[in-house]
Amino acid sequence: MGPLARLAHRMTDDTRRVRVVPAHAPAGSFRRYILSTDHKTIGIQFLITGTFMALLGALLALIMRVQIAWPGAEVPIVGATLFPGTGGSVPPDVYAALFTLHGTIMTFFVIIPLLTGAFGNYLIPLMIGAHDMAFPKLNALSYWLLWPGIVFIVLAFGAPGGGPGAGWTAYAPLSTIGAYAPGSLDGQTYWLLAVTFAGLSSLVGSINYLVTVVKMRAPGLTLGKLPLTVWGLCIAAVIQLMALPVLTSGAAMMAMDRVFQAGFFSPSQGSGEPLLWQHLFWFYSHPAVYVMVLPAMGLVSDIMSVHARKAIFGYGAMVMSMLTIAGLGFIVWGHHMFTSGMDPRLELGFLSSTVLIALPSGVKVFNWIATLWGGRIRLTAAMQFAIGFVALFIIGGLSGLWLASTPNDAYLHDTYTVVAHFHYIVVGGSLLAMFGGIYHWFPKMVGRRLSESLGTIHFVGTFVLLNCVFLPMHQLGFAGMIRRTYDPYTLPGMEALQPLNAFVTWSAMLLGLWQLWFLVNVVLALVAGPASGRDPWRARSLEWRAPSPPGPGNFDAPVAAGAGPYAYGLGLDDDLRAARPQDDVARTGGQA
Amino acid sequence: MMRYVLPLLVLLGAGAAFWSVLSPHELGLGAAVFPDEVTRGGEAVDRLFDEIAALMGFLLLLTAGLIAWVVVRGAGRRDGLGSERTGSAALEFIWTALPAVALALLLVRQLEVRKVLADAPSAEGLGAPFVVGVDAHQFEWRFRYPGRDGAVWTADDVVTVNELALPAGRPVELVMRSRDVIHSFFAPALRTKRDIVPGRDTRLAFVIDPEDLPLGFTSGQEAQLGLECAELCGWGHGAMVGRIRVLGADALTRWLTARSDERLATD
Repeated sequence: MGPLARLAHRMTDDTRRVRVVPAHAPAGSFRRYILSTDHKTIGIQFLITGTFMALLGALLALIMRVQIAWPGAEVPIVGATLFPGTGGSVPPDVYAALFTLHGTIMTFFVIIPLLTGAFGNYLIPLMIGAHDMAFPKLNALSYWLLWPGIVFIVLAFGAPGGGPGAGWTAYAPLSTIGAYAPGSLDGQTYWLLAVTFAGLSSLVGSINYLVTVVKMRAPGLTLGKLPLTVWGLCIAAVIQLMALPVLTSGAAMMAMDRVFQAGFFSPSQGSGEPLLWQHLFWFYSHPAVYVMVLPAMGLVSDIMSVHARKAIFGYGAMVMSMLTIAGLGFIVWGHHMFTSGMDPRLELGFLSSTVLIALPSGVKVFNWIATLWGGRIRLTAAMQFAIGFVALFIIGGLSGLWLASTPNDAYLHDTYTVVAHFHYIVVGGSLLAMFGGIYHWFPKMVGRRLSESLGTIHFVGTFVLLNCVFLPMHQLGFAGMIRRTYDPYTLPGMEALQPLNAFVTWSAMLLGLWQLWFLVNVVLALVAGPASGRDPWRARSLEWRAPSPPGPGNFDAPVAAGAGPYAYGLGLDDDLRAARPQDDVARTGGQA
Repeated sequence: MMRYVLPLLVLLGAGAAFWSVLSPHELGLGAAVFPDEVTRGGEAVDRLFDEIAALMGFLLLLTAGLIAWVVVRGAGRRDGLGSERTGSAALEFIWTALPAVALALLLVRQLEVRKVLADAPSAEGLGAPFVVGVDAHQFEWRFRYPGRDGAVWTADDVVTVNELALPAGRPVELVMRSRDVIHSFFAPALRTKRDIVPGRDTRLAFVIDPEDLPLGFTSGQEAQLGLECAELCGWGHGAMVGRIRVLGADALTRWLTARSDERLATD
């Protein structure tokens, strides 16, 4: 047996799989809810922490939008308290800190921890029929490593000398030489520490996810029966394991530049090369986009299959396309640097690989549509968000075609068209998928159902307002409005863009307020939501066989994979219902 | 009700996107349109943009239409299970192969336009390039024109601040240096931008086409273009703007000689 075959054998051999003995519930509520090693508690901790960080990141965005639409105007409500020195309007150094921290918080402390930390932790053991993660203490460490990062990123606002102002991309030497960004002296160093801790948290989590999925699947749950959510999370974990060390090394080098004048990236320190940072940064941060999207694709696939009462269409193609996206994702980073003056031959390579990545993305879209085709669709809130994800992911993906085309990117690079493009992917994509995921798995997490009517109101407003916020940004970019400017109207002719910017800002505020529907829905469900039973959606994957919410050790009876997570039809439906009549609480649920 | 509302929303979203991407030249929201391009090859860039937009528009409407259709159909049937079909090798092949062909064609078109742009400044009959040094620093542009010695970045350069004079109909070559952080030279009408990275010279070459300029230009008036720094360079990033004055080749030579004499006189 060759090494590869041996590895494959180890990964698929039932007898080698590890069984974790169910733990007893820890006695004290402190051990139970705070210092827990239970994957479900840790998942919910990630969920709550990520949600609070999302509120912070959104607030920063709204303050920024006020300045963009009405430069120098007083920020309503919070302005007078936050910026007393300027009469309530955003000072320029704070503006730089706002967009830097908005990007950093949303990427490293919201989307990645929510998708991989919250959904990864909560769902992986349940979906593969395991009692917990392979390394429960490592899992708790992953969550608690996030906290030093949060402390540093929040402290960075008030760091001596001001917050970091070099953008979430932290291009050197703006980020390495204090004198170039007065006001961001220690803030930038705090930023580096925050990113490093967030990275360590993900790294530790990723190891755990992979070992858990390889070693702890339920009997019969072959890799070919793994739910796509688990596939997406595992592939994202592999990306993190391969790419994070590069970012962490880069951050260490940048810290040395800042503290010891080491001269890795700063020409004025002797030998520094600014483009080296860009290569290191994007070698991580482009694949990181797929860390933010692949698990979302997994969630959406599973939600669609369940609520269309139908197997996912083209399971093999779905898995292969995720693997292809992840692989290609490692050789496209240079497309962020088309205007940096790199060798045209390199440009050509990055141009081709970037165009190629559209193919597996297209395959996924068509397979999702084919999954809906011929389904018995229940338009639950979860399903609405999943379909909304596909619709907006298409728009975000297609605008990437312009950016991949070097002759057009020379114009569009660093304009608002780019801002529109990636917000369609991470907000229209990842965020909608996460809302869908919460509507879908909330009954499992707390044993109560969210209101479908409130969920529908939440979805419709969110979908409409999202487009009102991000669609016009394409146009702003066409007109030549660039990113990260304190006052966009300094260039002649740009004043004409003010009404459009004001429209975007009003829409963004409404979008923020509209999320209150979600909050109300969650609170109402926690207090008085109807009991969900084990399997409110009559799904097939293993997590629905556990009680809602699952106790310590997850399952009260041994589980086996059976026909797999997508076994709709094949006469199984009636058998299952007959076997578990008590689960059929919400047979017609969700016909909103 | 959502059976119809959701498809409508998806169609509206795609329709709005379709409208906004397909005609940014004429139909943009308010003033949000491309500024007119003025370079040789700029037309080809805009045409490529439109071709990609057409492909995008087609795919947007196709996918949104399909989503709307399957939702209206699928949500109308209650109870029971969906079809038992789990995949189709033929379909997978079709929706991989057809986009692959479209993308290959797009790649070919991109290579063509890249060649047009690369060849534009060295076309025959345009003469030697007019070389200007670009000295970028927080938060100001300085432009260095060759003095008596005919070379830039030397002691006798003629220098202007935030105002770049360029000839029409003659190749221009910018030799750009930064004194501090990364800046980026971006003139929307030139349809290009190039980062200015400290520690190295970056170059940008193009030809302004007199025929693309406003009609007034031929009767001796000058044309003006906007100039921005496109790479975040610190607090004053957004204020690092300038303007480009486009003159006829002769007018530019006269202007430059006058400035050079002026400078010798003050020295």
